[in-house]
Amino acid sequence: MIEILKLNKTFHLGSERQVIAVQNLDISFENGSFNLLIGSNGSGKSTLLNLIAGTILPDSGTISINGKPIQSIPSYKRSTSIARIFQDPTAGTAPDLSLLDNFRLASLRTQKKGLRIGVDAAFRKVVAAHVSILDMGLENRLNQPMGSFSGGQRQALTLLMATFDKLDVLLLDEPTAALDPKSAVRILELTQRIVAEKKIIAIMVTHELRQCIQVGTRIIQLSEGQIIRDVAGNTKTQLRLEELANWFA
Amino acid sequence: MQFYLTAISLGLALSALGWGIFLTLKIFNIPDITTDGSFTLGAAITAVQLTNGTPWYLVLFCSMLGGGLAGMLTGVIHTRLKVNALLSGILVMTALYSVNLMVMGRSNIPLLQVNHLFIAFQPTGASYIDQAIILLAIMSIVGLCLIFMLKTDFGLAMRATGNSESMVNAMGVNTNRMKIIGLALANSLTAFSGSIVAQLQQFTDINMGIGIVIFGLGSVMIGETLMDVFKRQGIAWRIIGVVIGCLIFRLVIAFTLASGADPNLLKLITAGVVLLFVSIPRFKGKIAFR
Repeated sequence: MIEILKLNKTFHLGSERQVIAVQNLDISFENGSFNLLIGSNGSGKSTLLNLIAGTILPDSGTISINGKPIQSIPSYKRSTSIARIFQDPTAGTAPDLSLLDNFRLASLRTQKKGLRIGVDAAFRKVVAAHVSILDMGLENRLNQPMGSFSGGQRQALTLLMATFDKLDVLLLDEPTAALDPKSAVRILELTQRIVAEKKIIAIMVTHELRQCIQVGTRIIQLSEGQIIRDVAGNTKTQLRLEELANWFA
Repeated sequence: MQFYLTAISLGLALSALGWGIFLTLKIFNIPDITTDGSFTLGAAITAVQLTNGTPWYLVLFCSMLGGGLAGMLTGVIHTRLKVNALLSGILVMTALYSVNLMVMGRSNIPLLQVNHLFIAFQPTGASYIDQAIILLAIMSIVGLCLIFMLKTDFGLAMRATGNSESMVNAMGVNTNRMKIIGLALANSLTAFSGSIVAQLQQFTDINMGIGIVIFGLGSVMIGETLMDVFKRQGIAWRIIGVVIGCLIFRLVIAFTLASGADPNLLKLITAGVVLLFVSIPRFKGKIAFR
């Protein structure tokens, strides 16, 4: 469970370009929930995601995961419980390293990267089995450099890599924005499946209202760094696209 | 025979420098030119210590340590003070010129009367053959260690750092620390090269490192281009490619000088060779992919 209390973040404080990105935000996320963050540009969605990931640090307030405060520890240390999927399908993988090497790093997300050779025959089998659930035939292309796969394939692999090692929270920043509709659906279904199977928290920033209807257990709308709508349970399930569109009217 | 072997020995001695450049440029994607300074630093430490009677293996170790510290300094300036990588390298390289002079005490130290690596081992008695054998053995050991290191989990994290920083950060790697380690490692290899070259040529000169970074860059480019042409993409092949690049480069220079070219034109020719190999992938790309 993630608990966020009185979170504040202002960029360019005191200058003409001052932007209040997140303002006195209180929110919590339950395990096994698939949360969708929506809002216009500049509403603070991505900032909130970055604050949870630790790539930016808050001005004040607390963020805790399972009771442990994390707001001041650097992002690379938070990776023991948080994995991220970026909008750019190329950002989550190392293009020149092989698929196998990428998965090796992913398998060590929460562990030390020591001076031993970890890519062996047994590891290859594990990865092949894991990748085969994508049904893209990638299990036969383990030695190929990551950069040679398509955006959709890379995003799917990024998602698998994120969940290859243990984790509590999956942060997705418009993961399907750069993908074709078919790949986008595949990514969303995969995310939904992983959240349900592993009982993790997924928080996804999205601009596609249709996705909010298709997947997720909760929709949170932000505006000027504050929550203006928060819908879950039956209300979320019964929500229709037209109603959702009216939120932005 | 002697002509070729001498060029090959120097090429082998410089391949550690090539690996240093390969690490920073190709693995970390950082243009580091601390090289000119750390190469001379290795040679300077070697000259002073050998003159004082320190055994060659300790000398090699201390040279690497010195180069490592120089690289670490560049890394700290770059990552902690957020100074552009190229500028960080230039700053440390400039400062090292004075440091090297202080270490040496004068601008040139001959190493004719000291017990260095190539005096310690003389398997055949013919010095130019012995040198080539010793260098081949030493560089094989260093190269194998480097290949092993790059294949480990730590090495993977290192290779990913220069490739996709956001990814490797999300995988729990402190990329700043990784860059500092990488620059330290690269410059310790460079200083190692400086130490070996000083012992091979039996002198250390304060200016021996000037422009050496271009040799390293060129060798890496030649190696990468060749490995690309022969479709050898594995990390072991790329490390071997750097050695081949160093050897080709040294042989080209040797032939040029032997053909009676004006030695004053050497740097011009060096730059020309590098330009040639840097541009080959462009031409090739035009033909192969479009």
